[in-house]
Amino acid sequence: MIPSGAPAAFMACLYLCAATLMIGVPLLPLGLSPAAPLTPDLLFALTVAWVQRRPDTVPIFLILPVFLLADFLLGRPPGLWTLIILFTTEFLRLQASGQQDRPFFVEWVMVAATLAGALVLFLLVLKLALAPHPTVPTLVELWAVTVAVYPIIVFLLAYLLRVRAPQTPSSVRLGGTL
Amino acid sequence: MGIADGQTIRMWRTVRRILLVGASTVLIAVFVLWRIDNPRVEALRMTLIDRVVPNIAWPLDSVTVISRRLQDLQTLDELYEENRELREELQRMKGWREAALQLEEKNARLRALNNVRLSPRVGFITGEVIADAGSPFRQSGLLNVGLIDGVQDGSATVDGLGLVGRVSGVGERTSRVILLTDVHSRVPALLQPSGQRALVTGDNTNAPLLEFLENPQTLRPGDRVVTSGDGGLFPADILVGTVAAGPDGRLRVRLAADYRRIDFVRVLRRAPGERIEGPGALISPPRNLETAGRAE
Repeated sequence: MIPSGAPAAFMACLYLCAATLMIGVPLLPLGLSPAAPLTPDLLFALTVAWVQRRPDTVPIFLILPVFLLADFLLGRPPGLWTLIILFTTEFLRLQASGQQDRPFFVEWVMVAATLAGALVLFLLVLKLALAPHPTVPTLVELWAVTVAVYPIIVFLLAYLLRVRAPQTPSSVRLGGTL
Repeated sequence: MGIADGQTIRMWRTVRRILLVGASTVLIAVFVLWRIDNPRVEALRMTLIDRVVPNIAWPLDSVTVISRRLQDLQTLDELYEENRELREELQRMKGWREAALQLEEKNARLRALNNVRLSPRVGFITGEVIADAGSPFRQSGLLNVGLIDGVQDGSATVDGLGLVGRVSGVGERTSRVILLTDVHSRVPALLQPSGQRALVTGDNTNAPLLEFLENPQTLRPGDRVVTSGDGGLFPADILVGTVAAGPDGRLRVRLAADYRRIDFVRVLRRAPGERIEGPGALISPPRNLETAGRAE
């Protein structure tokens, strides 16, 4: 794969910084009352958007500690959401590879569907484990706000942090790279 | 692109697969451990939060301050109207205050006459809310006071007016407060003036439910709800709120604490109350020498 723009190590650092910020935002003590608006799963949106643009810069061993830390800090059952995210990102990595020029709308629908699947799996496992689990309306709301915020995250990534899919010349793509 | 390249690619794929399987195993193990040995993992969580959150909270602090300022600006135009109402209310309250003072004095005199001993006053420590629960499914907050400030697990927290929640999880310098609105929150309460006992049960809405009431018919909207002190966790007589009927017809508590603006809360320090161990021994009739002698 041809790296475009900044080197991978720098991009990985950038990802870590952005991820820390995304963990910090829901921790802001602004809405302590239940009527406060739901915070979207920003970390999910960020990671998924990043994985589909620069998959080489967010390997598993970077996603794993970030999400495990988020699980612990944000009061989720530790491990479960991280595990689901690992499979989600692997799936999206495979999906995105080799189709850099697909329209954004297709990607958006793909992400929305994947998130829905991930949340259903999350709820199902928690129910099977007889653990305290969120209600379905809250999950639907979470899904909706996260899907809504996804284009904004992608926009910010592309124009603020310059995280874009590498522009491969068509000749190279025809040559059959990774 | 040769055979060597293809081999490296295949090798990388195998490494990826091994990594993925390894990571999954570890994560499943963590989840199962959380399910089996919950207290220990939650303690680990609290330690982690204690270490990490104060360090990542400071850049976010400015964001909090700015957004709170903006909220204040929004309320600025309502301020005039509110001011006028408050003045009116103040006039009425002055009358009440006078009455309360007189009653307090009278109470004190009567107590002195009757030799009443009051339980010792509860001490408190004030903490600032530094972080939210971070999850849409939990209603809790993180305070900047912890073990070294004398916060104990299970302490009651109040704001200026009423009960806010219960401390659940204490770190070295931080502690977590489960708010009354959380689905896991259960607080034994006493309803005044009917004197009934009930359980204030959070359900992720602004007004927690009142459960296990003996006869709801005797209740009136506006009845006071205070902690009963049952269970020995909370001190008795902390104001929780007032009774209100929800839109679904179930009885709920309109909380006295202002949940929209919880910046500072007080953590009540539990006084180390004396314990009475077991029932008293059998009290025998007083034996004096005369009766003892006659028996023999």
